[in-house]
This record gives sequence, structure tokens and C-alpha cells, in this order.
Amino acid sequence: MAHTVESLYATYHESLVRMLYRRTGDRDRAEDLAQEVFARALTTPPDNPRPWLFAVALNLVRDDGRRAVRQGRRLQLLKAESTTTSPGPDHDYEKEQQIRAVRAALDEMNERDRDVLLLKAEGFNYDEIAATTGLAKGAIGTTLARARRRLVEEYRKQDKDRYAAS
Amino acid sequence: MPHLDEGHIHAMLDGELTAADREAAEQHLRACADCQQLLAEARTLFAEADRLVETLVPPAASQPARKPSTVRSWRKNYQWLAWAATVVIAVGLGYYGSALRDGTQVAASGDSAPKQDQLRETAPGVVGATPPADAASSLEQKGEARGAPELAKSAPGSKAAEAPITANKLPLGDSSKSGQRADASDEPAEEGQMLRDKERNEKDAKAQGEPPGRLVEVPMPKPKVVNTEISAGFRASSLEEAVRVLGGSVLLIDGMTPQMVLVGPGAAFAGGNPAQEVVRVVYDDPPGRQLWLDQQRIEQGPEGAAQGLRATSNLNLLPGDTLVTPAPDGASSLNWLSQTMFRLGLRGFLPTDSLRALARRVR
Repeated sequence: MAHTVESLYATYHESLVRMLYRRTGDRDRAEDLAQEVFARALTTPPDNPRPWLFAVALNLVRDDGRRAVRQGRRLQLLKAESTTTSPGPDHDYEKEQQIRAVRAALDEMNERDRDVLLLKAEGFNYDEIAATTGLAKGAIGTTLARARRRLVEEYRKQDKDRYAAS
Repeated sequence: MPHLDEGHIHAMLDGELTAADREAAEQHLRACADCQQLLAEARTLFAEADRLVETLVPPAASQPARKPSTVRSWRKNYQWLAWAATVVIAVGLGYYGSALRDGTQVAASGDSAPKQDQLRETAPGVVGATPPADAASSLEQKGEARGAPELAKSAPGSKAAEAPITANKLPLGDSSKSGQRADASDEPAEEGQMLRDKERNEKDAKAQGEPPGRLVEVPMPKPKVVNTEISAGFRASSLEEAVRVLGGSVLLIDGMTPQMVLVGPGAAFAGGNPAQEVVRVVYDDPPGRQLWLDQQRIEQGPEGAAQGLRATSNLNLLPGDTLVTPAPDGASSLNWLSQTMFRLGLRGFLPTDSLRALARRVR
């Protein structure tokens, strides 16, 4: 079934940007990547749009990440993120620290676990996660279990280190 | 049944087990303390992981929202600005009127009488202390909401005319009430405000030329099929002919397959040089509508590239500039000058950001 780019955009843009933001930590980069995903949807109209869009998005993140490393852009991104997340006078400092710890915990996870976890957070069922990531459906439960455990353990570790440092 | 593994338990918590598998798992759980313990741990992990992921919410975009439906939100923001301006102007006018009534203005300035007349003429409700009886009664009958357009009409080009929203709050009659009236949100004034906002929004929607600040707020393209044939004034062309016309290679959108190449008059290319033929590469989008990539090679003038551009282009663009304009038929156009001295235009029924993404792939 053919979908118009407009309908795909209306249906999936917000979710796609949210997932990309969680994956990259950079709102503008997430927006740019999402736009590229929809431009590709124009070139190759997907039959099963949701897994297709998110699979393309995750591939773009990987490619973009590799390119960023080559170009030394990662430092700029980190700088930009630290600027945008610096607490203002009335900012919830604790909340900010928590977000940093969650992001650090996500960064410690392997790519597959992280992708599966973020797709689940966007409401994907196991069939869709399997279609998006190429994993067997039977492996999704185990992957998710490992991903959740890893996230929570890493977060607790980050949290503990934070309090130890302060 | 053997013990449940962690993946099985998470699949159960995710509601991914079949009814039979779930029944079997629950039956095992009722009899197995170890698995019950595992389930309790999994529940904790499950909830904690979800909570952590949910803390990562994208911040507001650093530039105007790119969703095509931002026209409404822009208007909403503008409305707040207009309300703020209303309060400030109404209080200021009320204070001025009050000063006039008290005679302080007369004492301060010898030519205050003409000013009073002028004010009464343009904004009778503001001065209000000594309006003619018939005028006052007329205004009372019309009410505040009706007074606003009259004010705007009587002072064309004035601030009040440019922002008729302010007239809602202009006090009638006793100017001493001006402060209270300005702050009060009485119903007739709000109705008048809504009507005027609606009219203005409709005018905005019909406007062909968008001010610079609204370039990205292009309405969502309507799913409308147009231009399924060769554009008027254009002729089908081979790539070789297009290369000849351009005096160099034809630019294409990377990853897309052109449906046809046309050559036509430069006047058909918005922002192009009318004296120079334009090459139009036509693509089809999934719903079967056309996407045009118009291009002209820029012929540099004797004064240099920039001067040459300004002299030959309808749009004052410089290399690196982009301009987005909505077309009357619901399409959007993106015009830009490439660093390789091409004048380019991309036109299609797509969100502006998608056009921009495609423009980045033109090479």
C-alpha cells in the first residue's frame, strides 16, 4: 500500500525525532536525520512504513556517527549539547543530572540493545522490532531483558559515581 | 514446564506471549518461587527502564518548528503579542486622555486644541471627555467592538490601523475608566477581537508574498494532482540538448530517477533570468505529482559574480542563499544559488523541509 510522504510525515515525524533525539542527544541533528529519512521515503516509497522509516533512521545515525568521528565533529556535538543542557538560574539541576546519567548509561550499551530498547519505547511490538532491526522475533524478549537490565545498572552506577563525586 | 528465562518473562510483561504460552507460564509461576522472584525483579527493571528512557524528551527546537502546521502556532504567538500591545497602548491612550481632560496638557502646550480635535476625529472613544452628544450616543450604541474598525478606518497607516486589535480596548465615554477597561476582558470586545483575528488570518492565508520571517511556515501541500504533462512553453529535451543549453552538466537529485528533461523559457523559472532558457528536470513523487528541478547556469557580469546575479535574477539571491515561497496551487518552491554558479529551483507538493533535504542532494 502506497503512503504519501505527507501522511507518513504527519504520522511518524514526532516519534521519529524523539527516537533520534534519544539516540543522538542532539535535537537539531535528530531533525536533520528525520528530514533525510522522509526524503528517502520519497525516493523509495515503503510498503511497511514504520519499520522502514525507523530502520533507515537507525542506519543514518550509524553512518552519520561514523562520518562524525572521521570529521572530528563529535567534539562539536558534545560541546553543543553541554551548552544546551547547562542549567539556568531556575533550572532543575537534579533533573539535568539525571538526564545526563541516563544518556551516559545509554552510551554504555551496545548498539543493538539500545536500538531495541528505544524502538520499544516508541511502542513497537516484537514483530516490528524484528522487522526494523533484522533480529529474530524470538530473540527480542531476551534482547530487551538484557537492554533494560544494562540501562538500569549503568544508570545506578552513574548515579552512584555522581553522588560520590559530590 | 522448565523454569522461565528472563526473555520469556519480559515477553510476558510486554504482552507478547500467545494465550497458550501465557497460561503455561502463569501456571508455572504459581508453583515456582524462583520464577516468582525473577518476575518481581523483571517488573522492577521493566518499570525503571521505562522511566529512565522517558526522561529523555527532546527540547524545543532551536529554530522555528518545521512541522508544516506551524502557521497556527505562529498566529497564536502573534496574538499574545497583539494582546500585550493592546494593554500598553490602551493604558497609554487612557493616561493621555485623562491628562487632556484635567487640563494639564492644555497648560503644557498652547496648540493642544487642534490635537484634541484631531484625536476626537480619529479616536473619539479615547478623548471622550467632551464628545458631541450625538457622537457619544452613537458610540454607545455601537459598542466597543464596533468602534475598533472605525478607528482603524479613520487613521489609515497609523499604528492603530496597523494593529486594529488595540482598538478593542480603547475606552469609551469617561476616560477615567480607561485603566479598568483596558484590563477588563469584557465579552463584546473579545468577540470583536476574534472576528478581526479571523479576518486577518484569512487575509494571511490568501497572501501571496510571505514576509521574510515566515518563509519556513509554508502551508502543508495539498494532495492535488497537477502538471501531469509537459509544462506549458516547454519542450521535451534530451540530456545532450540540456547540457548544451546549460553550457555544462545538468544537475540531478542524487538517488532519484528523472522522468523527463524539458527546456523552456527563462520567464517560467521564478527567480530565473528571463533572457536565458531554463532546463527543467522532472521527477515523480509517490502520489504521481511532479517535482521540478529548474536550473540555469549563471552568466557572470563584468562586475563579478554577485553583481551579475543581481542584474540577471528576479530574486536578489547570493550563493548559499535559499528562498522558500508557496505557489498558488499549493506547491512549495525552494530557490537557491549553488556555489558552482547554478541558479536552481525545486518545486513540488512536499513539506518545505523535505524540499530542503532534497536540495542538499542536488549535484
